[in-house]
Amino acid sequence: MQNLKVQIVDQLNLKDIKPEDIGDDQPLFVEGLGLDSIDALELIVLLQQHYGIKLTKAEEGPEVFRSVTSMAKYITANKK
Amino acid sequence: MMSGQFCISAFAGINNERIIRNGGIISDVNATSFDGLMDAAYGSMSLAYPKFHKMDSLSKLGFMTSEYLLMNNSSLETIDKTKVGLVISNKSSSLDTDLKYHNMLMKGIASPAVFVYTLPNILIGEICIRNKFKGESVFFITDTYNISNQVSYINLLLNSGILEACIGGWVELMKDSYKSFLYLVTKGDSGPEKEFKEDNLLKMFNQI
Repeated sequence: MQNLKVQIVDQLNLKDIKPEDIGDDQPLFVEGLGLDSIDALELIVLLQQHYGIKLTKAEEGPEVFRSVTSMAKYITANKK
Repeated sequence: MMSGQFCISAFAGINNERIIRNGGIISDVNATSFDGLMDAAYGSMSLAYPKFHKMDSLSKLGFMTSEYLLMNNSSLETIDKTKVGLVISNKSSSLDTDLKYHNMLMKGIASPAVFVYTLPNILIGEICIRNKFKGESVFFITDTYNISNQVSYINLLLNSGILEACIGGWVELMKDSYKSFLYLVTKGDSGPEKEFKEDNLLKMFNQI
């Protein structure tokens, strides 16, 4: 989980945020980290680059990227 | 063309790891590289604007120059933000970022966050978002900085009432070479040295 947080901070250039500042279940978008639509696309790239996962169903996005925990679960289930 | 009713309220620029504001050097920002300078300037101003870190180099240069330009400047406070626009030029457009994006494509996976900066007018958008400016804006690509044409265009916007205030200037960046110069034009008379005309702008531009 910590490694994923480091990857998120690096991929999204969140220089004002330390990986350890991100809560496991903290919402990533809007009221949480305040990420935007471009960040969502960057998270898709992160999954592809680091884990070989292609998110093909757009409707899965909101649940997959709800929090670090939900991303980790998705990666564990789909990692190649 | 009317003249004398608009003045240059402020100017700022960044070049050779130096930040100039209204003719004086900002001395508390020191760095030996462009990236270092941008980080130092951001930290010095305590901006708390995370989106800055996601901008490409051209947008960072223009954005930070605009921050120094508008710092402690109250002349826009009473102006309708739909009447504040920007007219900016450069030589290399967004080529610096275009090439970075091209290199990413060649390696396989390209970053969407880089792609959104493959247009030069994005830097105008970043300044407008930051300051809530909604007036008419334009970005011109020219080999050299044509101050005469820029003055004519801004005068047209101001004299026709399309704008009440305008940020003009030159924001050029390509690889390790960069120079920015932004000025704010508002209504009023601040004396002949600040009258909005080509000669005065050239003197200011040469100070950067």
